Amino acid sequence: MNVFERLAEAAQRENRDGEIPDYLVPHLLEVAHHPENHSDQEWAVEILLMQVEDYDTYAESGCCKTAFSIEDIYTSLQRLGIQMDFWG
Amino acid sequence: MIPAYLDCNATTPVEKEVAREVQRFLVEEFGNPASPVHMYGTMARMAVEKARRDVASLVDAQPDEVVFTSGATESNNLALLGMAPAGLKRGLTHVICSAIEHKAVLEPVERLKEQGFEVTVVPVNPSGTVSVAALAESLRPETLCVSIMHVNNETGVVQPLDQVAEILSDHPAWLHVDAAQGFGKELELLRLSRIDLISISAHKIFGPKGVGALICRKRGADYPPLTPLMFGGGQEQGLRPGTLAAHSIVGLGAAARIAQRDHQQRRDSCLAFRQDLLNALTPFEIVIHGDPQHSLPHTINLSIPGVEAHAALSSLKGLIAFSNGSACTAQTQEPSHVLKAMGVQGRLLDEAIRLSWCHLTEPVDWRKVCSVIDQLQGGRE
Repeated sequence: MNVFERLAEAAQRENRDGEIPDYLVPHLLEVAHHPENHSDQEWAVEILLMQVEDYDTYAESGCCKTAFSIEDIYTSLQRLGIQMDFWG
Repeated sequence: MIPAYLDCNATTPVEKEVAREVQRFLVEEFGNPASPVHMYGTMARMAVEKARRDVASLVDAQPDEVVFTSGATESNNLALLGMAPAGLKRGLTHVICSAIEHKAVLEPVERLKEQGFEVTVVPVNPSGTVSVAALAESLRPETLCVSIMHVNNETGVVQPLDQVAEILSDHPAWLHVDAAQGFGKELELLRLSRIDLISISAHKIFGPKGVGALICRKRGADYPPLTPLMFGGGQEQGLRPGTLAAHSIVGLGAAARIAQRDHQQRRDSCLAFRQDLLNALTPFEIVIHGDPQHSLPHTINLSIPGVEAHAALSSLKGLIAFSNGSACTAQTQEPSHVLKAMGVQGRLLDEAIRLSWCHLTEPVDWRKVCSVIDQLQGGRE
C-alpha cells in the first residue's frame, strides 16, 4: 500500500476503533483519495498518517507529549492545502 | 579516472532520497521544532517526531526512547560518562568493555578510570568475536555497565550480542552497544530488549554526517540513569540540549526507513560484490582477518602477502579508495588495536587493509587492480 492508501485505511480505522472525530474524516479522505493533488507532498502525507495513527484527544495534557492532537492534524492539513470550515 | 569508493565503513555516500529530504528541511521547511506555535515550527517538529519513530522502529524501541545527538561518538560519551554519577552514587564502580571497541568507547572509558572506576577489558577470539566466557567471568556485583559493540568497524565481524544479553539476563548491569557500524545493516540483534543503550550514526547508513542518536530503552518505567553532559535547554528530555538540527534528523529518519525497506536488496548487492572481490583476490593467497561466517557482507579485512598496506594504498589509489583500518586511527600509522587483539602479528599486521562497499559502489576493474597487486608482489609467475 502506498502512503495515500495507508492514510485512507488509518483514517477509517481510527475513526471506527479509535478517537479520530467524525468531522475530521472527510478532510483526511480528501487527501487520501486525491494523490494527484499531493504528488510532491508525500513527506507531509507521511506526517499526517503518523498523526492519525497516534492521535490522542488528550495529547496536550501531561508533562510529556508523546501523541498528536487535533491542532497538529489541522496544521498538516493546512500545509497540504486542505480548506476547513470547522476551525473557524 | 575517479577511483571506486571502497571505504564505506568510514562513511557511506548519501542516498539521493535522503538528500532530497535533508534539502527540503534545510531550505523550505526551515522552522525550529522547538517553536511549534506556528506552521513552520510545527511541521519541523512533526518531521522530527516522524524521524524518531522511524529510528525507533528499526530496533523495536519506543519513540520516547530516542535521543538525537551529533552521532555515535557523542552517544557513546553520553551513555558511558553520563552514567558515571549514578554509578558513583550507588557504589557501582566497575565497567566492562571489549578490546576491539572503537576509540569513541575506549577513550570515554579511560575518563571513567580517572573518576575512580575500575575497567575490565574483555579479550576477543581469533575469529574477531568477543570472548563471552571471559565477559561472564568479569561480571561483579558492582558492575555498572557493559559496553560491547554491535559490528566491528575494521573487520565487519558481528558480535554475539544475543549471548551477551543471555549472560546479563540475571545481572542488573546496563548493557550499552555501540552500533555505529551495524545499525540498519544487521537488523535482528539490536531488537533484543536486554540491550539498554544503543549508539548510532546517520552517515554510516547513507544519511548525513553530524547526526545520530542514543536509544535509551526503558526497563519497566525507568530510563537508564543518565546525567546530561551539556546544559542550556530542555531538548531531548534534557539529555541533549540545543536546537535540534531538524534537516539532519529528518535525514537520519529517512535513512533508517530506507534501511528497513531495502535491507534484502542491499544485502544481496553487497554479497555479489564480495564474491567478485574474492574471485579476483583469492589467487594472491590473501589472509582474511575475522570469521567470514560472522561478518557483514560489505566489509573485508585482509592481508596480501608481500604487499604492505601503505604500498597498496599508494599504488592502488587511482583505482580504488580504501583504508588500512578505522578512519579515526588510520592517520596514526599505529598497528590496529583490533587486529592485535585478535592475535594478528608481524607482517600480516603491516599488510592489513580494509575494503568496505555498499549497494551504491561503482563496479571495480578488478583486472587492473590485480595487475597492480601482481607488480607489488614482484610478479607471481
